[in-house]
Amino acid sequence: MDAVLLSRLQFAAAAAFHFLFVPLTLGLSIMIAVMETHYVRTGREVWKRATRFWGRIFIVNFAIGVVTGLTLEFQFGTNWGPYATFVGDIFGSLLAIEATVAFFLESTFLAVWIFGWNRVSPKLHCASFWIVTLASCMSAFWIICANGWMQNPQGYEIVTVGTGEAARQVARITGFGGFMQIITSWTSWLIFLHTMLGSFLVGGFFVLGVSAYHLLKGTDRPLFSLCFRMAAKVVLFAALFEAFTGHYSGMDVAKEQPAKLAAMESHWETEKGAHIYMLTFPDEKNGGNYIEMFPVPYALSFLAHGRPDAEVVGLNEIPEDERPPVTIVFLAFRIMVGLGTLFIPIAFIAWWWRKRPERHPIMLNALIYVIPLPYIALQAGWIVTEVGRQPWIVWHVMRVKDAASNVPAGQVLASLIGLIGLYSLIALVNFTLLFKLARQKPGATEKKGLKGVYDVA
Amino acid sequence: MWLETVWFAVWVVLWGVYFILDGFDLGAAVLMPLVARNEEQRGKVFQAIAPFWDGNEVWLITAGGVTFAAIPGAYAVLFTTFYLPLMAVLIGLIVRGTVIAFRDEFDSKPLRLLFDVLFFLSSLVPPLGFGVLVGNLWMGIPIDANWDWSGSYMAYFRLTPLLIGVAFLGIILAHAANWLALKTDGPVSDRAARLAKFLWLWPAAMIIYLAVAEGLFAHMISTRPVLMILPVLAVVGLVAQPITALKHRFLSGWWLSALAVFACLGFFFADMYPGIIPSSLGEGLGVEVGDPAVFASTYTLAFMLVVAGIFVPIVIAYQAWVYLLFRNKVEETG
Repeated sequence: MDAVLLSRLQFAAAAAFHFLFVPLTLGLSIMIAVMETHYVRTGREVWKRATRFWGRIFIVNFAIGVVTGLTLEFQFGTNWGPYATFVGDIFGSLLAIEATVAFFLESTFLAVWIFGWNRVSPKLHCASFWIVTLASCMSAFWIICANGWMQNPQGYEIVTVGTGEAARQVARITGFGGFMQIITSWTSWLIFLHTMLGSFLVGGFFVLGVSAYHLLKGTDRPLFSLCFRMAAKVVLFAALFEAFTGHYSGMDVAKEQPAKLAAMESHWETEKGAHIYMLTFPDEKNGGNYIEMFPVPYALSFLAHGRPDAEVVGLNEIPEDERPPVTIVFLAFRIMVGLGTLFIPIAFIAWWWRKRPERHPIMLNALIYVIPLPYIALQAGWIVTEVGRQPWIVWHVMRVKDAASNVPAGQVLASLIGLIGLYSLIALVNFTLLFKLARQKPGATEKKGLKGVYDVA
Repeated sequence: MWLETVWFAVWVVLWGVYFILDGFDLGAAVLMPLVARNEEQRGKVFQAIAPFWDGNEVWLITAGGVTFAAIPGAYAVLFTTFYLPLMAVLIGLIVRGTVIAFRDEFDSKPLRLLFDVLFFLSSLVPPLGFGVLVGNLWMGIPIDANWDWSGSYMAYFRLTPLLIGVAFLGIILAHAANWLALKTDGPVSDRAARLAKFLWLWPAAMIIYLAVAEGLFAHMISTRPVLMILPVLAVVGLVAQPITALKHRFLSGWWLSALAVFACLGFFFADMYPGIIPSSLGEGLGVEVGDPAVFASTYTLAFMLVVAGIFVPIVIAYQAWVYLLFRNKVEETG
């Protein structure tokens, strides 16, 4: 295997693994912030118990998110050197801003929150968590701006710097106007909103599922009833708006990245009034589909461009060396959309029965098994976005194969094996621990003397 | 050129702040086997750094991000040429962060012992790795006109960079000893205080050896004698260590060892300037400040300077507040 493919595998593994932790951080933080606000406002002890219960899970999850994020930053330099040189002006700036304005706030104020229960006033303590929450959202915004720029580059120019043999081409921001164009990019905002709502689904269904488990067992009913009710509202809101942002994101892809849209739908021939086939499967070698059954007439034209007679570009019109891998993108897209659709009725049922959930044990049992589904949906969504971007690293500006560092393949293989081994181990320990924490009775194992969340001195 | 030079200085300062801050918490873990004899005492070492380490590590993310944004050429070449050493540092940082997150959640004794051993090993790699890396940069690395590594990767392990790395580790450990003496009480603090009295001898002896045998200061004395103030400050910071330790003034000792860390790093980069990643294969082959292909555009450099000028002081202010908030000694655990 060559260094480019190994580097791609390594980045994919590192990004996917990092994104096992980030959505729960984003989704859970907003709910914990609201819980603690309730506690500060009403002084009801149950809200404090709830804050601490979910907080302990949050802390472990957050720490792994931070350290796995470090890998991504390192890799832009180690594995994608020519890319880093080319886009440093844009991508690097956004990353540096993210670190300076968001990461510091997150890490510093989370420490205040963890260790400051008895050192700062309840209001300041609660405010610390709101800072963590808002900083997490900001950090998501900046990094997605960087990603959105790779999907739909704008506000830049390509210039040649240096002379003679040392001359290099680099992308550069076109001043403040260019910067504003980058951070107001419609593509980035759609991906950002879609990711945030997806993270609320992860966090919301996590709280719903864990609360369901405890309601079935009868542990701390007052606490988990309250949490169930809150999470039911969150998932219903998120599931509905997720569909909207998903739709508009799809329209944006149809406009800006027609090859990606064609791969998502396995749509081969450019045509007006294109259908969506409920049952279909791509045959990449022959440039068509193995099977096309149960058409929804004009649905593709209508969804992609808002008009039933609109023309939708097919894969066969796109040069072969500019097509993304179709089968993976197609499958990932169907998984995401399928799950996203499923979340709406589930969320509606949970919301409908939110006041007396313990009367519906079948629903409670089912909700426990729903916990992993939003994770799968989010992973699938990012596979659509990133594999669908291939073979470009910056859409129609730079190819992935031109972006990889000139590092011996053996070195990349060594780091790939090392990272995958390490990540597997961390995943094993982490999920064991999360299961343990989630199943514990709130306040059951307050560690004495530990100056953590459970410090009462 | 002046904007590039300012950024080069800002860049060195950011890395310097990172080594001062994360340095003491990494070093504390490396000193753990020497200052803590049982699980409870090891727990104290963890607690002495617990509220700070994560915020400290963000300085690394920021220093990295700023390198990417302002000096993308250096970022790409540095991370590509030091691929495996930096991956080792990365794995060290991942293991360490994970261990800190997990340790207190598991009660099993053998598991905790395993975590403590991993904590020590994983914390040893970053300061040593970065030290050897800086030593390699200062010596020059075998990169050609395309900035690709040419020749054997064993060049990482030349004697001088290794010695510089070990000396740097010594400074970091002296720095960490002050912190542990300051933040803990009882036997952990006493042992750390004893270490603070003697640890400075290690880097001091190596600096003398490097100066005499390897001509560490020859280039700087002949080209920029004024900047010899940097190594002088580093030595002052080290030589003052036994005095502050004897007087139990560990906070002063910490600031002096911080000065040593900062001045030491400053010396190497000031000596290399205008080189950022000098090549050992010939003049003008390396990555230099004057090369327009190395830095970001003037607009980005100016814009990022404004961003840094606004936010870095704010960050320092609220981080300082957190250090004050948790300024107490780690108390006896019950």
